[in-house]
Amino acid sequence: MVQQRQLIVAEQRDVTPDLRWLTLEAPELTRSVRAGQYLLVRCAEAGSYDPLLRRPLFVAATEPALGQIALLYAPNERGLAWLARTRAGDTLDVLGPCGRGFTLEPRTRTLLLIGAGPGLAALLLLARLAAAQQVAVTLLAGAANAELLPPAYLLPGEVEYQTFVPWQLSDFIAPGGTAATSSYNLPAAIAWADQVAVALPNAAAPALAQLIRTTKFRWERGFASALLEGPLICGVGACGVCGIELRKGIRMLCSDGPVFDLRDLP
Amino acid sequence: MIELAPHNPYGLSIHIPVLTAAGCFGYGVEYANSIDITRIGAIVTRSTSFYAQRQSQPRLIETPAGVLLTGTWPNPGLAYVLRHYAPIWASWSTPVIVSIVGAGADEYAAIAAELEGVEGVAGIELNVALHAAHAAQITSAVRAATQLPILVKLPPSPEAEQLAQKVARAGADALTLFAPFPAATPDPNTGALVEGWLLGPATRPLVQPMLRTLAGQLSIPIIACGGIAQSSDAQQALVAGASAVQLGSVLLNTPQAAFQIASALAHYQPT
Repeated sequence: MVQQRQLIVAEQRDVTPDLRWLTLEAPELTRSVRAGQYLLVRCAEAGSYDPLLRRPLFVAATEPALGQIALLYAPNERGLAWLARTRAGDTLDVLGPCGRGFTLEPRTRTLLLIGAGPGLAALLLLARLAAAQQVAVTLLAGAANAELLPPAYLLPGEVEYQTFVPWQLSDFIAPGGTAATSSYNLPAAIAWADQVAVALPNAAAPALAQLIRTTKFRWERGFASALLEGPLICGVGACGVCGIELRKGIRMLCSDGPVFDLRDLP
Repeated sequence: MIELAPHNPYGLSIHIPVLTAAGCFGYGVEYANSIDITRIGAIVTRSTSFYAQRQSQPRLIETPAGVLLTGTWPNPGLAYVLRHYAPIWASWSTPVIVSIVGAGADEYAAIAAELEGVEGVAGIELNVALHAAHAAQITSAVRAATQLPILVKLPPSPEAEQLAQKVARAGADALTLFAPFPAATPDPNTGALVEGWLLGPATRPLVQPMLRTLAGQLSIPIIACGGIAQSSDAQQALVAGASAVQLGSVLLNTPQAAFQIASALAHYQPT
């Protein structure tokens, strides 16, 4: 259920020159929110509708003991620039949590995460939750510049964190879904993992799927899931602008996703 | 109670003069678990065609205090809607008005005929944004196909007054004034000018004077639509002569505004 909530800002700070870490008082959400779910944050003064649309932000951390959650974002447009100016004690109007997130399979003991862009925040939370369950986690993160990469201290120490700057999809996967030879040995990482979760540009999905097909003898449902990019406007599939064609037909990115099993993608 | 179709045998009574606008509240069922829909006057659904429309994905491009909608109206088609949603609507006390869209008068009439007698469907709203010049002909065809209350949502234009009169004579029970404005804005990705329909609070000052002009000239109820985001906006529309208001883009920001504004107007008495 997508609820409207008034959440108080506990803290906001820069974690890099380009990334902000926003901590909110949200005891109700700390135990219920899942990695890959997002909040629709109203980024305008009370009574103002400029900008009109809420900004979708993925939950990057939960602290049940403190009753807090954290969001990670780049204040690179006017709505998020407004959000970056909020201070401790301010109240934010939030809808959520929205969407369906990642599911950590009970059998998973080794987890491979690959991400770039806003979805990286969701992978941070998944890494934290998995590490707390003694799952071995490797996170491969890419960005155009180092300031857009989450600092390592945001992750549990036991997570293996590798970064790629500047990042290009072809560093990982060559066209056609074969392994790129000039960089990271992604097939070996896939073979190592019990589960793979990615947050990459949508264009990466077919190539990654092909690479998994050629790497795994058996690709079971739940092995690989992808957080897809796209407009997240209403959070419940009502406005209809985020329809996406999957093997099973049209699905709404905002409410049926944004995380889908990679096998369901066309 | 407010009667939106006083000359229709079915009638269309609402207890609060606040409706959701087509396209901004889905089919209502999406919000059934998070919003008390009994506190809304009526729900107007997403525009629905006879067959599913999936080939053209719409986009929302943000503009100052608004959004530009491009593309057409994707929907799962009438059969899906009747099978999956109408039984739910039938259990609600809040009237549901199905917004319909077609390629021509025949398709509008065919959809209307299918909706006649469906439990849970209280009325029809005609989305004629792409067929404004034929709005009266379409209304006539739909009137011949059904006795359900018909709302016609007209686009804003210099000919709106003439068009409204024609549509009223063709059998409309009420008019929704107005559909979003034709507009254009640069694509944030490419810089190329993109055409579409502008909606949002930015349009309200444009709607208000047109509404006031038309309200005194029509013999059927008017439902104001366009940029209404707060209860004071809604009250101004009612004072201008509207019988009720539709909330559109504000619901993309805050769906709870539907009952927040409805609650503020619950005791509103026209002067």
